[in-house]
Amino acid sequence: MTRSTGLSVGLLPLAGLLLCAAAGRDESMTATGAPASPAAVRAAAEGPPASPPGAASGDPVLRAMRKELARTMEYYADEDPPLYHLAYQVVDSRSYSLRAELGALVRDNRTVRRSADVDARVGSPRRDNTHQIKGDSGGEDELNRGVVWLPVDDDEGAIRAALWRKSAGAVAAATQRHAKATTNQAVTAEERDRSDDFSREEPPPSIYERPDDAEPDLAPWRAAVRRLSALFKPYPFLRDSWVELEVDSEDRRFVSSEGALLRTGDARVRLYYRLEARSEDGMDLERGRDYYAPSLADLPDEARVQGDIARSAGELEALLKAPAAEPFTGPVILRSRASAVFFHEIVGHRLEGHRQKLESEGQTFADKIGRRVASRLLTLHDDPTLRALGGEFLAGHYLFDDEGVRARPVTLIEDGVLRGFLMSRSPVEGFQRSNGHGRRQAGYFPVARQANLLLKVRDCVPYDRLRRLLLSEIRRQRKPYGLVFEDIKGGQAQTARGGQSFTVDPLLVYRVFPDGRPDQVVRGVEIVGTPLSSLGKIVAAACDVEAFNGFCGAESGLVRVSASAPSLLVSELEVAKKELSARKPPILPPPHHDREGVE
Amino acid sequence: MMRRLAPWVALGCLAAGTAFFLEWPLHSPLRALLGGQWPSRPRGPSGWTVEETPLPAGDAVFEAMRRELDRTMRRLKVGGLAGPYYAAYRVRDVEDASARASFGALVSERRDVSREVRPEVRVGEPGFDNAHFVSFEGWDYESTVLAAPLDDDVDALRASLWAATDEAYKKGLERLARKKAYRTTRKAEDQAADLSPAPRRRYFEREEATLAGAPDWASLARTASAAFRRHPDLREGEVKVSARAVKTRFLSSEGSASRESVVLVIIELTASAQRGAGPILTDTRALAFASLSEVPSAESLAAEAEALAGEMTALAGAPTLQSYVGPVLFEGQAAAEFFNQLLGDQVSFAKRVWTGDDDDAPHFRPGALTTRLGDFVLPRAFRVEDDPLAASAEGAALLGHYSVDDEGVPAAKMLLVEDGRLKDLPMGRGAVKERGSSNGHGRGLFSQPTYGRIGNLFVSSSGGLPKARLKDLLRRLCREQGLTHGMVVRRMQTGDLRSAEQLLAPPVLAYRVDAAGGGEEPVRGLEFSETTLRALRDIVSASIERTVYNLMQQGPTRRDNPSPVPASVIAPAILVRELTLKGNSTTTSYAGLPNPISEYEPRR
Repeated sequence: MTRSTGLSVGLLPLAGLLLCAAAGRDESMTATGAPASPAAVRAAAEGPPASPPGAASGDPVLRAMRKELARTMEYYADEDPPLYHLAYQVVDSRSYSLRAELGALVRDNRTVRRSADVDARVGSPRRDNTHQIKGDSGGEDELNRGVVWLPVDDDEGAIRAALWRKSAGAVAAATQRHAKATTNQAVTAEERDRSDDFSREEPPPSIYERPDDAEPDLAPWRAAVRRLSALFKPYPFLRDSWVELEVDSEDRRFVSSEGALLRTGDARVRLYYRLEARSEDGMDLERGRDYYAPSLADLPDEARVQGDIARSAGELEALLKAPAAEPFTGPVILRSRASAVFFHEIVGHRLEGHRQKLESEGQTFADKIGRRVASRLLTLHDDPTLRALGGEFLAGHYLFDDEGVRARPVTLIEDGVLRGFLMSRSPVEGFQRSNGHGRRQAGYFPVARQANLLLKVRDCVPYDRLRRLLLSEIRRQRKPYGLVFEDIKGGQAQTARGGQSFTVDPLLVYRVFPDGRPDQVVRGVEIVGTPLSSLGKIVAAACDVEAFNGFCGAESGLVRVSASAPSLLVSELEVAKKELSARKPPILPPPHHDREGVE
Repeated sequence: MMRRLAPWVALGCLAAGTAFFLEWPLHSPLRALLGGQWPSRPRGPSGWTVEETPLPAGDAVFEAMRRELDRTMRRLKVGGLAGPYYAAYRVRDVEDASARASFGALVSERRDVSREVRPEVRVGEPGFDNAHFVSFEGWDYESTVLAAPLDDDVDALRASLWAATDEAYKKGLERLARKKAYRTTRKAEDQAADLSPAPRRRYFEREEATLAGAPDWASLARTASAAFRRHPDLREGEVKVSARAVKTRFLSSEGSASRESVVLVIIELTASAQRGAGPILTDTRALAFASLSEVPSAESLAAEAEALAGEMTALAGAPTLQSYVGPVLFEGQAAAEFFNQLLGDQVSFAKRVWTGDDDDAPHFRPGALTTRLGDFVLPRAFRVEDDPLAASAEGAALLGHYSVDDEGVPAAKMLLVEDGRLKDLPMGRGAVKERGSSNGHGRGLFSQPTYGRIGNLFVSSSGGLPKARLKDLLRRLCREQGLTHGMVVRRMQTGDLRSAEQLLAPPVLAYRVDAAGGGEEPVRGLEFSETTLRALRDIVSASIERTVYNLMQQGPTRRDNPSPVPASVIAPAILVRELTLKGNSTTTSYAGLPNPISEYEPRR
């Protein structure tokens, strides 16, 4: 991934984006919570931190990392300012991608690569080169050092040569930024939060997992994606459609000058399809479904996907005929995955620790610890240690974060009261330690990010009951209808000072009428509004928790996340009409539906 | 150096961090992959047939192209506006393989197959249509290119063509409207046709390009780059191999059609050297081959890497000069780049692109010589031809060889300069008032518009001297001018690395020559200053020997939209009476730690 995604807060006033479309809940996904775990060689965790576990000593990549790290630390330790912390993260990633359209294979790729991130800190944990530079919008972006590709051959000398080049650049950049940050502190007003720049953590354990590097058998899947994509041929209204299969694995090594030595990994597959159409008035509409699983064997069977595709096509056809949305303020139900995205955007991003002390941020929750911030019904956790929830795969799972800190579950809101933040190693007032949420995409500087966000609501009711509550709320407010947000694509939130807002991009929305008329599909609905007022208007919840898996983009790049929540009844939500694309649908019918075109 | 490279040819050099262009809309024919010989005239005009020749039977891609093109021309129109008056499809099948290794270890390896469709949709009329216009910020400059199915499935292929055509047609209508509006506000000077007439011809090659049977690219890159391990002053020593087989099909609404295949292998060797706290000097040497059988052995490449490492290490320790004004001898690659940058680039891109935004105008400038037909541009002794039909020269295969250009027009040899006078221009179907038709030189990147540009540029001079004599002449000129030293340039940076103000890119390998004794010493950190096209006419003498140089010719849009296409320059060494070179500001770096690679055993 490059930084051209444009999602970094330094480039755009966006604090977070949940980008990907959802993974459907899938009862047939029988994962037990344990992924198809690689043959893990767990070394004794109690060994001295700097000595590699037995299995690790034969690892030339780790050896190269340790040697170059030691040499670099020693060389720059006596400089002014001194290099006091150095960490190398090396990630071997393997990905396969298949794509088919209308029964024909369009892409068949395999990519293997090894990235390295070098994190250098000069000065001292109290004040170092990562300190915020106030009034300099590009100041945070300077911390993103870019990715370096290491040899994929386990050649110690060549790997060290690449780390050596990257380290020299990282130390030079750290020294320059340290000088800038020091000057900035001297000439600007004192910060409200005077926490250190780098937390002190327990020496991390040594963990050594050996990944399963068997090649997946994709031959049956080439045939399967062709077959599945051919199912779109009967629908003349489609502009575009495709089926993709992604198989990804990551093997992460981490060493630091504090003695950390880690090798962990995980794997993930994603099968998904999309159907796209454009309405006569130029509105782009889509349906689709994602299936995430720890391995190919855990994907749902083909018959089930076929059924979903037929249903999606029906929904898209209904959307094309549906009336366009009108601006609306009134009661709504957010179905579980929609409410999960809603919480990811309006609450999750604002609970990322570093935002509580950056002067450019809104600091919505900075001084609210111990105070009520939401309905008493609500409890919000984030737990990267979970691999699955109710049999459903969770994309935000990891054992150690990108700063080498063990992942820990954290309670953010308990019975409506704010209890904690998502913490990286950047301390904030009252929270001096990381809880293992320092995350990044390769090439970026890690900051606190969400992993698996979990919303729990007390006193939940069956969904049918929630719907009846919606109808009463519509009547009570004397509204002509209410809305049900059935499916959602993603959203974005702005957390910066002076402009806090969010948008969520629904894909399928129904109008629900209090007089018993059947529900009516509407298209082009967009949820808008200010975050905290929405949070106070949650009045009831169903017991139907589902997860939304996807990618989240923010200043430390794209990371995998999930968010899980029950369906929620919100007494008042503001809705706007989505922008049109200003382009017409295709002029001619698709070739295979063109009777006139038959020769 | 060029001698050492034989029978390969050098292909330019790039500074650190500049990606070599991997987009090659290649139109040289398939080399004799299956054991045959490279014919001296592989396919003359005799390979061409008239438009009635049927499309190859059983070719599902042509079938999809034909049916969708037919539907497009008969029925594609919207809202009372006219449908296209001309449409053409290019569909290319690409097989890619690449490998990159650093100090003997593999960094990346990739294999990929893809198929892409590119419709060319013209609305309006041949005299004035939607082409050759950029409305704002260059955003609508790129053509519509869509991925298409790899499977030969007519329905699925047609769906890709349909979607791409629909988009291209709508964009074309919008662009034509904006271009018409622009015409009413400006007295634009170039009113020649946007699509000049061209012969309707068909050409179908039988051979299929493939990378099957290719060397193990990863092991080639590993072995060659391992040579860099022996050089402790190198910060980076990398070898990248990119191989590509491309099959392109073309079909136009006028009836022209072609199918041809090509293989291209580019091997880039990059070395960065630093001595102490001196500047980091980087050079990339690229070697290009038009067939798998020409790819050199790993050992030969390792020797090439070894030589590059030696040169860069020597350069890192070389002195800098503040300035030099005097005669300059260009040899080998440097002489060819001199002609590429001052002549090849400047006679290309004759058709002016109108820019709706004045800020875009500098990015779409025709070559400076395109308005100087009939003028003396070189000394009278010079003759220059461009001949895309030539497959090889001086025993080396030419990268600028093709039989049909990207507009479906048969390639043709042309006389560019005779007795020093500019006689003709390389033209595509976009006409200018001096030249109303194509001579088969319309080419461009697959995703970008086509322009008239050079293919194989042959520069020759009557009365040339043996190369060794040129250096004597240089020393004599120096002595006559009272200079103690002269200058020899043996490598130059490629044209894409010029700044907008520069006509000539900086030298990489420059040597100061003692006018008295003839001894040489490398100098670094120089760039050409105040160079004008007059330099071409200031050539004092040329060598008899010629260098064959394969390169990716820079497009009319520098920097962000370079649009390079493969080309060749065949040129003698030349002595220029006077040029100015200035020292550029070199930054010093930290000395830092030594490269840890020196702790490890050099590899075989």
